[in-house]
Amino acid sequence: MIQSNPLASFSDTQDEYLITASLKYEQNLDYVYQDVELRLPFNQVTCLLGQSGCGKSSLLKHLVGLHKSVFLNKLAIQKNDQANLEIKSFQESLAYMAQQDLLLPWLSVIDNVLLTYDLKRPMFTKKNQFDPTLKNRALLILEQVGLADKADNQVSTLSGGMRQRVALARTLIQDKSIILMDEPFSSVDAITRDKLQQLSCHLFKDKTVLLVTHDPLEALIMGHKVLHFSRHTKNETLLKRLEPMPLPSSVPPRNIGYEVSGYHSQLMQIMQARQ
Amino acid sequence: MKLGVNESLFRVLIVSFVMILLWWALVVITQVPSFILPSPEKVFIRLWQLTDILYPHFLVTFIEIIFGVVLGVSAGLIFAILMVYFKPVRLWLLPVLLFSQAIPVFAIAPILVLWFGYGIASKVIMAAVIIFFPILMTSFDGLRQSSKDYLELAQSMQANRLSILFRIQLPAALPVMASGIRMAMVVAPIGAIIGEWVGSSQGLGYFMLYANARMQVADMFAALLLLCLLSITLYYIADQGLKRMIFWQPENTY
Repeated sequence: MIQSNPLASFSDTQDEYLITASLKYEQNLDYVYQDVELRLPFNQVTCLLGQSGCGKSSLLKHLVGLHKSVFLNKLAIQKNDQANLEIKSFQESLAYMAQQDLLLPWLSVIDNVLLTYDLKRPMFTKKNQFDPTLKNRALLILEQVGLADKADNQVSTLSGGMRQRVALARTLIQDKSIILMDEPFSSVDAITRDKLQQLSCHLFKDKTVLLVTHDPLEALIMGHKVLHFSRHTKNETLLKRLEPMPLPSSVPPRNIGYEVSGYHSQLMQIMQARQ
Repeated sequence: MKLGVNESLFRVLIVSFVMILLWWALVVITQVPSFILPSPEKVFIRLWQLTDILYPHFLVTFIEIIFGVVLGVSAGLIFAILMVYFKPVRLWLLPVLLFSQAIPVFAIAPILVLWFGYGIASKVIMAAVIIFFPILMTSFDGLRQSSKDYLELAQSMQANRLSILFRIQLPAALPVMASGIRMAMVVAPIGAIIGEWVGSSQGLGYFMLYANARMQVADMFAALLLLCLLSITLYYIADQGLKRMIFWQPENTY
């Protein structure tokens, strides 16, 4: 008798996006990826694990809609294998968090958090007329990331970890259902990174998250699902696909411990073997 | 900030004082005839005596410089924005601009006077032309270098181009543009004065030529002193204004 995996049956009833993408920068270059399939379960963290230069960041930016002027950028998004979703509506319902914090040095912390709304403010209107409810929401979110007392500070006075938390707040306030993150915690120290990972798991618990990372440990801490961006050869052509990686059955955020460490070395071995 | 302004002003005063002292010492030691190099006190006395005559000339040159700077900065900025946003403009305009810069401004001064007359207009254009290129290049570089990542973030927020330009790219380019503007403040008077030399009936440049023709060297120096004062003041005002605008950039580079 085949024992059914409780997680598998759970994911059967789970809503998900099915994304198919191809990307080629120039005519005479190879495909970065071709017809690669990515399944994003709703309200879960999916980690895209891969080495530098494998195309994982390209895929993320592709989803955000930043590859408009390349040779070929095919993108199809389906919800639960139904008809194609409109790409634009998908892109309007996502928030993007880049590798760097990208805070604007001439704006205060709270104004950086409110950047989305600032950019949508009509031309030739004064800045300090933000809706008070919006401002309160920004303060609330800053409190969630533990920076309520820094709201009016200049960003240059913040540490690297604090800056990432402001970036987190800026992502969160957009109130989008999908969050795409590109190695957002790779530049902070190990302890701060761990705190940020736990915090963002907590804050993003009802969001559909795609996290691009090169760090298997990060994927193990944060991911409900971990996909390895790997290449394989088929009919003598190099193809890339996303392969699921083994994960502990516990729910993220997972603490670094014996179990996670075991999986960590297992993931490392798989990645090395596929190299 | 306040202390910084006072400090630099103090330094300028000290330097001017020392230079005047050296000048005076040179005249006393070498005993040069005053039609070659008048002593500082003679120049200051002439400056005092000529206040009423110099004032209108000063005003004209001042207006020429200000309008020239405004025109040159706006033209440079607008072309820089066009070059950043439209590739054909960038590809076709850059050689034209380089070519235009290869012609010495001195050479086109008579033509400008011919076209725009003996009045203020030709000098304003002269000053604008001479600062246009540094402003254009620094603005272009500043706008182009504004990190691609910021633009991508703004695009992910579905912001429109104009809003990205005014709220992200221009402020981000400001530190680089500032050096162009500082340069412009010092160079713009050259344009105005050349214009006045070539053909005018007023302005400090005109006054200097006039005094020179009559061997009134002290008068020339008086006008020159006034011009120096004007340039330095304009530079400091621009510098302080820019520093205030770019408050987020600490001055720890020197």
